[in-house]
Amino acid sequence: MFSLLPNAIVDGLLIGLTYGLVAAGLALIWGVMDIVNFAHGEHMLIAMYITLLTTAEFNVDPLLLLPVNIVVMFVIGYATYALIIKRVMDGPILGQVLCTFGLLLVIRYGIMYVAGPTTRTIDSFVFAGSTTIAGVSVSFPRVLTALVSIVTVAALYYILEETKVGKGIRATAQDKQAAQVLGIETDRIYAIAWGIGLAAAGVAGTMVATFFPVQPEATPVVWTISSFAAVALGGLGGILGPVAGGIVIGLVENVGSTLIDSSYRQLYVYVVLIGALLYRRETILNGVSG
Amino acid sequence: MSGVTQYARSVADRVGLTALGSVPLRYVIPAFFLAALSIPTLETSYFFLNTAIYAFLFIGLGHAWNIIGGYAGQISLGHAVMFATGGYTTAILFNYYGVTPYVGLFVGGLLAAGVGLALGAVTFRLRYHYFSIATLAAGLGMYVVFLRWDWVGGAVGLEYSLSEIGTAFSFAFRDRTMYFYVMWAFALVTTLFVYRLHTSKLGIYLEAINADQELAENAGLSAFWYKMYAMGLSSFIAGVGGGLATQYLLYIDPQTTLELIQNVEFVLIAVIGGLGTVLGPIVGALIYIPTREYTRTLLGGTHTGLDWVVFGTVLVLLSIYKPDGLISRRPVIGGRSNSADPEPDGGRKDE
Repeated sequence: MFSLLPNAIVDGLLIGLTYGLVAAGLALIWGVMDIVNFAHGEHMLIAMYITLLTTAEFNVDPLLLLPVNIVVMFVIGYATYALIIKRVMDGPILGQVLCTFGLLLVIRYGIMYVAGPTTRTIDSFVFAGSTTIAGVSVSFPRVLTALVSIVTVAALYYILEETKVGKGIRATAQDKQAAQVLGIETDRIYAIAWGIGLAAAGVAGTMVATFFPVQPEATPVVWTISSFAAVALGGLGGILGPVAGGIVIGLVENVGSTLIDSSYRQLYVYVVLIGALLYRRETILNGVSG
Repeated sequence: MSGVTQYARSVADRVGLTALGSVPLRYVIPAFFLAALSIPTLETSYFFLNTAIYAFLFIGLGHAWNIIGGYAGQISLGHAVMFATGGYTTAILFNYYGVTPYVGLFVGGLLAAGVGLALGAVTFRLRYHYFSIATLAAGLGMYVVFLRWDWVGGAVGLEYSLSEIGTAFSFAFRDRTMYFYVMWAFALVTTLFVYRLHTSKLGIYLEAINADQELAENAGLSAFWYKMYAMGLSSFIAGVGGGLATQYLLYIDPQTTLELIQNVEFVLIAVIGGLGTVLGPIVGALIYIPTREYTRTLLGGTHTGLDWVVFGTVLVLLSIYKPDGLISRRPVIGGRSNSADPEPDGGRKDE
């Protein structure tokens, strides 16, 4: 049991970085406009299925779909805000929860209707395979996914800190009225935040599909709840908090599975989520900055 | 306490909760339930009766969610926990201990209320979507545990043995119309209960807490304990409903009681009909259940997912155009509305 611990830690760190990336996308949307995207895992599922179906049909490598998915998910995010979320923004909280929950159902079961309820895995991937380093088995797709996650998080950090759009997002998160007075089109900023948030999930979805079996009903909930937990741990004060939270969640899940019982791996995440929500309930929301 | 009641009422008035209402409920409810008694005599096809049975079961379950979600404004996404607790308790008591479901249903309701109170004690420390997330996690957590818990049958679940069906002791009938009358009674009792709640002090307090928790607390209401009160009542009804569902299906498993979607059905019914109203869950169940049964049958019976695409679209459209449901709130109590413009946001943006 303990001999498997190094393996669990490595796996936890690797997948945790991707949890962090997905959570950073969720936190960006959540932090800037106080809306929780219950369909975040389902949005990620779109990128997964684009990857799986395209690679199966046209025999292209998943990595080539990365830029495609970034663009597609950005557009979906932008449109989701402009067409739907914008209309429930100022309404009751119930409307907001119902709205993203409705999106969850539409996307999840829409994909299931089109692609079927079967579990899918990738056919071929250039970087498939694994090696053993110092007694720890390391899978190449997982390492590559973690690397891509790090690069994407760095890019998100750069966008938020250095670019004009990023400064607009942070300003809007801090004070919407003041941002409007200063000439920032907050509606556009919100739409861009949705675009970036979902594009981050799109990157993660593309990469994760290379080694993770995907099923429309079972897969998204894992990612949604993991990112909720990562955000609850890391707070909404920036994107690095959720990333750190994601790594913790990855470790909790994998170490818990190894030491206690692997069939309850999701349960450890649920427990951490509820605990973190209670412990951090006063301090989760602190505006968005890098 | 009457000063508090007065104040709570003025809070409810202020945010426009006391608008509308032309047909007195005391005529609508008896008329509806009396007319409904004739349903089994109209037609006895499987599809028709099955739909009617589920519709009346879900009137009660919609009421259960409406107490906590509509009146108290706490958007629980984990009500399947209490539903399953009631169902599993009834089945376990009958299968393992030979306890008749007449008792088992009641025990299941009480146990569900206990579970609901425990869940509430933890999650009512959270508000807004944080509450929703925590209850969702609780529901999914129970699903994971029950899938692998052998004593409760694991993923396969528990089944009633066929030899028991039709005996007075088992409360399981061969005749489908009997089930209709049972569900009819469940719907009637819960409707009368919520009708009573609607004009009771508790109902008014819950609406006040829903409208503006800070203001209600300043008026001396303990938001936490009134939410707990509502959660206990809601959970008891959900638990009994879960037991009744098990009695009808004659089995219970995690997939059909605890999957994410099962948490949504209660919400859908209350939201389609109208939040915080007596008629809301009735209208909601009468729209939702026939649509659900029809789309499932129409689409070949197997679970293709298209039905949920339809209901997801309905949810999105409702959230945009009618976030309070098809029926608007009826008067909390006699008085007239001071404001025609409801603002049920609960002052969230002030934080």
